[in-house]
Formats: sequence, C-alpha cells, structure tokens
Amino acid sequence: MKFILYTLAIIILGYLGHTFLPWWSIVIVAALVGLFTDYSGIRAFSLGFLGVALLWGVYATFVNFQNEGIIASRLGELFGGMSPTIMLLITTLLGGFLGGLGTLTGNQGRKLFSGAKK
Amino acid sequence: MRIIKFIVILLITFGFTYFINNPIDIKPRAIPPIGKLLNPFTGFWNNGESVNQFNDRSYQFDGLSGKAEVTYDEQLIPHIFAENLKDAFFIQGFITAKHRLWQMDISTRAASGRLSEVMGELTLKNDQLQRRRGMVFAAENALKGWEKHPEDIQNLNSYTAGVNAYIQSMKPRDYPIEFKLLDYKPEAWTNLKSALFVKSMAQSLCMRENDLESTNTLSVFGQETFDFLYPLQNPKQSPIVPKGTIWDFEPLEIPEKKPILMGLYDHKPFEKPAPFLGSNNWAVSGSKTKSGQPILCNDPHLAMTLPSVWFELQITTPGSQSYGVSLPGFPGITIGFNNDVSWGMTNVGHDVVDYYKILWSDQSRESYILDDQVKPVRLKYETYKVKGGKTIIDTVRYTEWGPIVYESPEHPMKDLAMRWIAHDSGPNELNVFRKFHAAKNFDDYYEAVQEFVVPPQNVVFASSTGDIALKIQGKFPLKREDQGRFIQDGSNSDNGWHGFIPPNHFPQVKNPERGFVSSANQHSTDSTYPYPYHGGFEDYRGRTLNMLLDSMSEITVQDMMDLQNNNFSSKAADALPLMLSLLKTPASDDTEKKILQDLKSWDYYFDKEDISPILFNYWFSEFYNLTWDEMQSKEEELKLDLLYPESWRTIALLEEAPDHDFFDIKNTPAIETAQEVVTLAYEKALEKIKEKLNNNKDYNLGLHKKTKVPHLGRIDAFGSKILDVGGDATALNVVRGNHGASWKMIVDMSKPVKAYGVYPGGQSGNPGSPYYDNMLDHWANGKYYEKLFLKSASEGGDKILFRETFN
Repeated sequence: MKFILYTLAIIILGYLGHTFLPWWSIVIVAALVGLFTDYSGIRAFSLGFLGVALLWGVYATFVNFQNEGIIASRLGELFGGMSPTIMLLITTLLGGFLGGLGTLTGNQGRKLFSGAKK
Repeated sequence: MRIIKFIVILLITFGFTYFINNPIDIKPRAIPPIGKLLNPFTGFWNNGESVNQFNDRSYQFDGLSGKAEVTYDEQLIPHIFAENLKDAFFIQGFITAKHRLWQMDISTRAASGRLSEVMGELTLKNDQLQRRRGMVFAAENALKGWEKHPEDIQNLNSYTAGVNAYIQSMKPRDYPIEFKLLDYKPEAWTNLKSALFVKSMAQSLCMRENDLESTNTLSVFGQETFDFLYPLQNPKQSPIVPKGTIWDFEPLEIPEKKPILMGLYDHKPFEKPAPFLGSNNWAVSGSKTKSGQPILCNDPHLAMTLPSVWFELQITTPGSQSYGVSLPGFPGITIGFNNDVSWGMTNVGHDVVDYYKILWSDQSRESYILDDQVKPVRLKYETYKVKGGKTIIDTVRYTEWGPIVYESPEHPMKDLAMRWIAHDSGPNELNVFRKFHAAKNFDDYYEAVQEFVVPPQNVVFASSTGDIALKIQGKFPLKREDQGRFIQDGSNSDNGWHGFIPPNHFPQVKNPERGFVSSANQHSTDSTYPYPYHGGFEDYRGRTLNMLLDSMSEITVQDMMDLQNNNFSSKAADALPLMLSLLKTPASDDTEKKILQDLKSWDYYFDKEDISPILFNYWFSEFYNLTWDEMQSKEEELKLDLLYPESWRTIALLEEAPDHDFFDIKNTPAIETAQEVVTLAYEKALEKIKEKLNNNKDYNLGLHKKTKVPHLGRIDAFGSKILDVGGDATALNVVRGNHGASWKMIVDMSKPVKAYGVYPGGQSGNPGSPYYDNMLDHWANGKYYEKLFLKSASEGGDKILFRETFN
C-alpha cells in the first residue's frame, strides 16, 4: 500500500517539478521520496523506476497519440531508423533508470542518518 | 561503509544526470544532450503537436495600440485583422516567430557569419567568407537608410517587438526542435537581423558574375576568341521588353570604353548561385482572358527548404486587405495581391558586383594607392566564438571600393576588393511592401517600386481596372562598355561607376499590344537599349513563355496553372534535331534501336514518365564536356578557373561552325569535328542509360531526378521524402536538384479577386507538426489551393481552425 502511495507521490510531485523546474528536477523528486523509504536498495530503486517510467511513459504515449507519431518518427529516423514505439520504450526506460537512481540515493541517504539496521 | 556506499550512489546519480544533460562532443557534430532531449516534458516529445485539436487563445501585449484578431484557415494560414499597419506588423512578427523561429535565427546567423557559434568548426569557413563579404556592413548601412524614415522604422520596430514578444513568452520546452538538438537558446530579434535577411536574399540573387573567370579566359585565349565564344546577346533571345521597343528618353552620356586589364588569378572563385535558380512571372490582359479581366502569375524559384522559404498570410487594416507570401524575418507581403492590384517578382541578372585589383603601398597591406595617393585601409576585426572550440579573430580590410574578399599572402598584388551595390546605404525597402498593401492602381504600383533596389527584380503588375505592367527595378550603375565584366585596376578612381542609370530610364512595359507582359530571368532588352549591361541571363524559359503566351487566347486560370507546370524545353528543341542530324553509327541491337527511336520521336517535354529527357541531358552534357575539353586542360595546366561558354552558344556553334577547331578533342591524334564529338558523346550517354535500364526497366525521369526538399540545417530526417516530379532547369516548370518553384501563385483580377497558390512545404516550421509539409503533395502534383481572402474576422465558417485575439 505504501509502495503505491510513494509511486503516486513521485508521479504527482514529478509532474509539478516538470511544470515549473528544469527537467532534471525529477531526480531530486525521486530522491526526496526515497528519503522516506526504509526499503532495501533493490526495492527503493524499483519504486523510483516504476514511478518515473509511468510518468514519462504515459505522458509520452499521450503526446505521441495526439501527434499521430510524427515527431517520434522524425527523431527515430535521426537516431538511425527507430520506430515511434522504440522511441517510447527508450524514453520510458531512461525515465525509469533516472527515477531508480534518484530513489536509491534518497533511500541510502536516509540509512546514513536513521541508523537503522540493515 | 554506509557512507562510502551512499557517496558512490550519489556520484553515479549525479554523474549520470549531468552526463545526459550535456552534449557529447564527438567531431564533427556533437551528440545532443540525451536527457534534455528525451524527457517528454521539455524534450522533443513536446514538439509533437496535436494533429487535430486546436484551441482559441487570447494574448495581451503593451506593444499594441488597438485590438486585433487572427483567424487560421485549413492550411494554417493566418488572416490578421488589425486597427493599423503597425499593429499588423507586430502580429506578423509574433506569429512568424511562433511558426518559424529557428529558421529566422539560423538564416540570419548564416548571413552574418555566426553559424559556427552554434554549429561548431564545420561552418567556420563559411562564416569567414560571409564576414569578408561585409554582410553585416551591408545590413548596418541598410538600417541607417531605413532609420531616416520614421513611419517605416516604427513599423519595423513593431515587427521586431512582435518577434521578441513571442521569444519572451517561451519556456525551454517550447523551443523549436532544432534549438534542442543543437542545444542553444533563441536570442532576441533586432532590426539589424531584418536588414541581414534582405542582404542575404541579395547575396543569393546578385552573385551571378564571372569577373575572375572572364579575366583569366580573356588573358589565356585572347580578345578575338573571347568575343567569339562569349557574345553578350543571344540572337534567339526573346527579351523581357519586346524587341523593337522605342526608348523615349535622352540617355546620359556613356563613358568611353577603356582597355581591359589582363591577368591570371588563381583565387578559388566563390560558389555561384545555381544557374537554374530562376523564376517566372507574367500578366495577361483582359483581351486575352476568358473572363475579360487580367490574370497575374508568379513562381519564384529558390533553393527549396523545410521549413519553407515563404510564410503565407493575409493582412487586413481599415480600408486595405492584402494577401500573399512573406519572408520570415521581414515585415509585409513580398509577393501577393489586394482587392485592386497584384504583384510578383523575378530576379534581374544585371551584374551589380565588380572586383578591383588593389595596389598595396607596402607589404603590411595597411594602405593602398588610389589616384597616386596613399590611402589607409579600415581594419575590421572579426571574432568567431566557435562552439566547443576556441575563439578566433581575423581581420577584414576595407578599401574605398569595398572589402577585400579575395586575398592570397603569396601574391598580395592580386588581392581583390568587392564593389557591391548591396553595400550602399539609401533605399528604403521597407516602404515598398507597405505601399503595395494599400496600392489601388498603376500609379500606386509605380510609386511603390521606386525604392526597391537590391536585389534588382522584374516586378510584374496587374490591376482589376485592366492594366498590366512590368518594370525592371533596381539600382544599376552607369558603366562603360564591358566595364565590370572583368577585374579592374583599383588604383584609378576613374574605373569606378559613373553614377547610376536614372530610374525613369529603366526598361519597362505597360499594356503592350501583344496583350501580355512576362519575365523569366532573361535579358531585359534587345541590343538597342542605350546603356551597356551584362550579367547572368536565362536563355530558354523566356522564349518558351513568350511563344506560348503569344499563341494563347480565351485564357482561363487552369491554362495558367498548366503553363506554370509546363515541361517543354527550348534547349532540347534547339539542340536535339542538330545533334541527331550529326549522329553517325545508328544503334545496333533492338534495345538500342528502341532507345534512339524514342529519342527521335520525343516532344521535348521533360515529363516524369519519360526516359528520353534523361538521355538528352546525358548526351548534351557529354557533348558539352568533350567540346570544351581545352578549357578543362588549360584549367588543370594553369591551376585556375576559366569561364565555360554558355550552352546556347555551344548549340549555335554546332549549327554555324561544326568544323571549328574547338570541336577537336585535344588528347587524340585525329582531328575531330562536331560529327565525331556528337557521336562519341552519344555512345557514352547510351552506355549510361542502358546501365540504368538494366537495373530497372521502368526507369524514368521522376525516379532519376530524386527531387527532395531538404531541411534548412541539412538534418536528413527533417527533409521531405523523394517526390515524383518532372521538369528541368530549361523548362518553365523548373525542378532540378532541390531547386524549384518555392511558391506558385495565380491571381484572377476579377471582382472579387480570386487567387490560387501552393508551395512545397507548409506553414509550420516544426517537423513535429502536420503543417510542416502538408502542401508538398499538392505542389508535386501541380495542384493549387484556392485562397481564402476574408473581409472580416467573423468570415470563413468551418474553414477556420482556430482564432487568436490580441489586446
């Protein structure tokens, strides 16, 4: 249950960050949420991965749908002939990886100060 | 332990984020910052516009004096309704920037030699060339002239403010995709950039000179051969002002001819505009049309690009409404129409660029001798802030003639200064298009074009009251015979221009008996025009155009569309019968017989389904190269550039002097005549065409041409697909490489006026918009859109996509 709440927190705060702050604010958002977690490293990483992958993936899919794939095909061609679907996948994975790194960093930071046992 | 683990993870997170927020510097082009580019909120996804959802919007700006409204029609063409022209230009600036900001930025950067600031070392050479040509110097001088006219400079200020209002409203996520890929930010627009834009048009249209090659050729081959190979007038030419026109003015005194300064120059000549860069315009009077009203047509040919060369719009102010295409970076409508008149442009080929050999007074090249006096050069330091590299400074030397554009440290006495009309201050190009907007009749048109100076243009006109006219407009130096055809001695001011031809002596036609006026970049006049001139002129399209217009009557709009898309080549009609008559050794096998048979029955139309036009072009170019082999071998021997004879002259020689020594191929012991050369050329051409047919038996001109509209920044993925089109450099439907009609317009001057047009691209400059290239197929298929010319902002009904209001 908590995991879902944390995921939602990343999505909502991440979206706000993307609206008002530079794009890399998503990493800070993920790290901040990560600070609240006492998960294992892998679970913390998964949390950020899922949250940001969802946010980026769903948003990009929405844009791509409205745009009927025009910009994704052009950029895909520029990157050596990738389809819009592949472009979506890469975007989602990149977002997930960044989010995972963010939450993991926060999570490790908390462990530094909380003194909790591993 | 924990602290180390934390620090490692933190560093990885930070490092990775930093890494993907910055470009990776791999030569020659850096890889864009991946994270910035891929994140869907500020990256490239954000440039993906919704294809079918449009929202009305309203804006508020202090720069506006009244209310204004803009309605966008189905082709995303804005119709501006403003309370005055100043407001209209603000909005034109705002919406042009909204759709074309990167194009505006990159084209003015290219003009002023600032590309390498964003593109890196790749473009440095190009930048240095632009600086040496004094493009910024030219733009600054233009602006000085404009600033003397308060009303016009206020209008330009308003346009600039409109562009900047848009730039200020942007967030990084709104930046055009090219800014994101090249990782730089838009900078503020300035009046100087608008001036630069005009000068860059002048540069691409004025530089049709061969002073350097002509001087070399004259010095190598001597006067007699030169005169024989390079006559100024083509006897077959059908000039813009009809042959036999009486010049009803007393010409100024022409200075006496002077001997030509011989010399050999091994500077690499500047790249010339492609010889087929040309345009057509014409107007037919009511006596030749079905409706009884004039029809005006114009198709300017420029290097086609995406984002498109032109931005289409309607401007409405109380009492005046005009419609047409504008240049992204300059206020007003350049080619278009209003309720009463229509106007269009083609380029004038008169040589307005001359070169002067500088006599340095010493090795330092800081002073030179003019009329026995020592004059200092003005040194201009040019700074290049190369992206991802160092800052480079070099020096451009300005003489009284102009900047030193050709220089070589080994032979400083061959340094050349450029005298170019576009460096001069004075004309007020701004008021030309302001006046066209409100023009009601011939007199208004005549007054409007007066200050149109650079680049010189053939300005065609038609009115709903039945007048048609064409004026050759520009600023033309008064030259002695052959002056400026060759490099001149820069140590004597008498070699300079002796003033200018008075504007009322410019060649012009109004309501001629033949019922039409026309131009296709050919000679302005026949040889009776009292002022000597030379330059680069087209030899085939003008003849086709005049021949066809002459034969037409009861003309409809459809006839005019067909004429703009006409593929007939006068060059093929001139050359092919001659070449066929000289051809020995008929084809041997069946395939070869069939190929030759097809060629013999070819109608000289460059239609996309045919193969004969490919064979003709192969054959002619092989024949041309074999004929002028002595030019090539001399060039290699002397390591310099020569002038090659024009194709019309080569064809004329084939007819008049088939035994001439020039037809002999110099590296063979035998003495060849035109017959052998034509035959040998055919064999070579036949081999080429057979190879094409072996690979694809359905090979044709459309496949062969591989016509594409490339991206302005040469990003392949942002260019068009390959288009299946016909046409040729010598046909009215000029399509060659990426050159072609950048806008086709037909205006029927009935009441109310009806207009049709199309261009190869779309209104949006965003590769992520369906309006980036939506008109391309229509253009390729020779189809047109009927234009929506709205009386009020409430008109248009379901043809309106959305509205914007400005307060």
